[in-house]
Amino acid sequence: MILKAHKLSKSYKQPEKAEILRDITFSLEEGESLAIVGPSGVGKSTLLHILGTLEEPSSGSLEILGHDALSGDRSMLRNKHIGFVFQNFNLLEESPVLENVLMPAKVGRQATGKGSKALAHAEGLLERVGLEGHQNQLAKHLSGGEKQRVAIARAFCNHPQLILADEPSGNLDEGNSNLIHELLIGSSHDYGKSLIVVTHNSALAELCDRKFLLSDGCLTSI
Amino acid sequence: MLFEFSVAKKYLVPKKKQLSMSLIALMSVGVISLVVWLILVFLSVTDGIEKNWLKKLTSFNAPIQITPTDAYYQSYYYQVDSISGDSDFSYKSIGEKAAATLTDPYSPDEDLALPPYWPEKEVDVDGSTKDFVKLAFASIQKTKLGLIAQDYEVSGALLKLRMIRSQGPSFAPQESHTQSYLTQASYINSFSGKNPHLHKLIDPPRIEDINHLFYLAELSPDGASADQPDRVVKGSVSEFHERLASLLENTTIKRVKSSGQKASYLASLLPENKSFEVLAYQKQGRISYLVFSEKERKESRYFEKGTLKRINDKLVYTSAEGKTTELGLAIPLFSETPLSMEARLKKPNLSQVMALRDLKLDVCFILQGHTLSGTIPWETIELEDADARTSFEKIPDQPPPWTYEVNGFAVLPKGHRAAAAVLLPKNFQTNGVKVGDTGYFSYNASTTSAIQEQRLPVQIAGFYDPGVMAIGARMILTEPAVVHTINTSSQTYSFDQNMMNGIQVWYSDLSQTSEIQTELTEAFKQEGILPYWKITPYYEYDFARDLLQQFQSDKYLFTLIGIIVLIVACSNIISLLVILVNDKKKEIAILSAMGASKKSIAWIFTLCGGIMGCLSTMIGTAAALLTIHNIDSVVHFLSLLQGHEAFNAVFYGKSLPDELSERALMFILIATPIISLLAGLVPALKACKVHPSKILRSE
Repeated sequence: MILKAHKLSKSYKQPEKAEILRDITFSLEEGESLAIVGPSGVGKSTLLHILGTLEEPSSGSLEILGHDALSGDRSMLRNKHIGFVFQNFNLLEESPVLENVLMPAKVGRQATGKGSKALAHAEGLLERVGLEGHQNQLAKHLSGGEKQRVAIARAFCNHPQLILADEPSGNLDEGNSNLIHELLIGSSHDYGKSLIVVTHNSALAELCDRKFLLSDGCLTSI
Repeated sequence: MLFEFSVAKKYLVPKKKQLSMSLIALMSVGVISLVVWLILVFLSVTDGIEKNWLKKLTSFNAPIQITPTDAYYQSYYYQVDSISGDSDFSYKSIGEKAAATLTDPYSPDEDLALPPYWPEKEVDVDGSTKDFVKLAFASIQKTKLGLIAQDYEVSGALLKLRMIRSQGPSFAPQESHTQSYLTQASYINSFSGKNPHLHKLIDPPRIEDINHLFYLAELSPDGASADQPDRVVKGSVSEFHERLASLLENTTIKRVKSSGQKASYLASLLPENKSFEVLAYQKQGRISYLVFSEKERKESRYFEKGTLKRINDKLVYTSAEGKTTELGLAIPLFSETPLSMEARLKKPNLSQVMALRDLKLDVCFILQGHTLSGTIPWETIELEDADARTSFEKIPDQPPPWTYEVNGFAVLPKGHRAAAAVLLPKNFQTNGVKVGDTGYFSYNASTTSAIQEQRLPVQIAGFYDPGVMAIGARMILTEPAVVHTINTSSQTYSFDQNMMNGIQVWYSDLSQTSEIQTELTEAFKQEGILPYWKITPYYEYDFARDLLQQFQSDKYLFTLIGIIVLIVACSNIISLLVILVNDKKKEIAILSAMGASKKSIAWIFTLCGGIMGCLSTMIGTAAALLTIHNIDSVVHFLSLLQGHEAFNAVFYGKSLPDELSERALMFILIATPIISLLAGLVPALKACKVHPSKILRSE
């Protein structure tokens, strides 16, 4: 089992007291893809960030690859086992494409020089997302679709078991959206990764193995 | 750390887009560099000055002085000489005690009975009288290798110098002399021939000293001890030869210049058929003399412009109107401006030299664009450049009349006619005293019925730098025998008896002072002579203590100020990095999402501070090195700006130290990066608090 969430809740005290996630319980198997859909502001992204250890729940437990993901230093867990794809790409705009893709490897202190495995893998990933000719281009000079392709390549860089995607096609036109959906789902399948995707896009949700609806803080399978 | 370093480096490289940030970063680096430069230069200069002072302090006065205590002067060992016939019933100095064959000269059979109050004898294990002086010297030699010990004695007398100088109107045909007198109450210290540093303190004779010695060589020193000025007379030929031989043997003449304006020798040097512009002095229609003039001068009733040529051993003067006059080679010639000539002395046959003018020099120089060369007599000329030999490998057969050095030790020459050679502090130079001047020490000796003035003739053998001693400006060095003679008979000066006589101990490494003092104390204790001697290291000398403490507190104070200024300068880094953290929040959040730990993110900003600190240290150190190596130019520039000397030469020495202080460098190399790293910690903590989830969602 890749991920196991048990009774995850999240409430905010400010600006006014509100419980946006209530007793979220689900699990994710290896290679499985899962879509979380729901109206805006319902807490989908919050749930995804809790699953990605970027945010802490108010209560509940979370296990990723058998590790307790709510205690101790989670940075290593994020680096080795989780890949993120954000709606607004979150690339290092002033850095070249290849450096962006290699960033998780660099953070993980892997060798990224010539002849290194990480570099070969990053180049392979860029080829996979169709950006092999853009390695040295600065990220800020890419189009939205290209940026998201770089972000997908980056998410797969450290061979993580779990890919978390937050509205991956939210800022893209239809053509690019389809391409991104295909890449995300296809790559997850190809590399045998588990995928949790938060989306409004029903087409993307349809491509996933399972679908959940987040509504009133509760997660229900649909 | 490599990852953090690469990110920190990326953040610090100036970028066009972040111009304001780059400017703030550059300013921060600039300010820290400036502070580093300032601290390094100031500390290096003060350190250097202190070192120079210490060197001066421990060159003339040894770094350790051993002086007799009251117990010594009250002991049987010291007192016994005053009632012993073998000691001429007079007290002995340490030097005499060291050289004496008898430790206890008292003979009950020949000398008067010891008075009842007489001090008890200190005896050795074998029952013999303990020899405090010999035991002290032996203990010093045993203590450590390389210790040099010599006794010293201080006395006082009135120094009276008679200064004979050559002077006369520039057109005067005969040289004339003036005499002036200089009287100075002085301390007299015995010349320490064993002092390994003394030769470095002695100035080599100046060119005016050498000139003066040549000038005095012809004159008789008679009258030096008379109160009234005498007519200056020529000395005997044998004396002249003796002095001249010593001077010629030890002087290499390189250049001479005309003294006064008379230059009769020019006639023989003028090349044939070359035309020279001259002024002819005419009186009653006849040319009395000719002047080679470089200056624009209006023609007057007496002076007429014209040209002079040498044709067939005759001088032909042509006036501006074209009138020619033939003149003999003997016509007096003058040069308004001094002539500077390259010169070599022709080896003379001394027996034929009766006066300086009998010496011949080969000269070569340029006058009005023409080269003049030939041989001229030593007349109306003076030395402009000459090498005086001051260093020898063994005592020379023909020693110079100035103080010289043999294998690293200074040697006082013999004065003429039994005059004692003396070394004066160099401030005497400003009173016009020159090497070779003669005079006498005057002191009062009491007899049973009267106090009589005694005189000891002296001759100046050089000048030395007395360094930092308070009474240095009045401390004259001369032969130990002279000092002792004055001490035993003089009643005029009464010093602190304990300071008048003692032993100086020299060694090379000043940092060993405390250790050597302890070892000497231990050795003296073992010999049982410690109560009779006081061992004083240089930092406890009365005249130096306050100054050394001042140096120390100045250093502490400036180091403290330095640290505060450095902290203020480095705090710039805090503000810069806080801005940087705000600017890079999104990147921090992305790195965090990629798995960068809080520690790693904190390191990135701490390193930013460290890199800026190191960069500033390097720039500041390089600038300080450059400044220190060109300190004289900097001082010159500052003096120009101020319109007067920026640094008083009396206090700071002729030039400021030009070496970077290791202590200051260590301080900067350690303090700056540490303070910068600490300054980077504040923004680092702020960076740690960046909440990636909020940032990544808010974008």
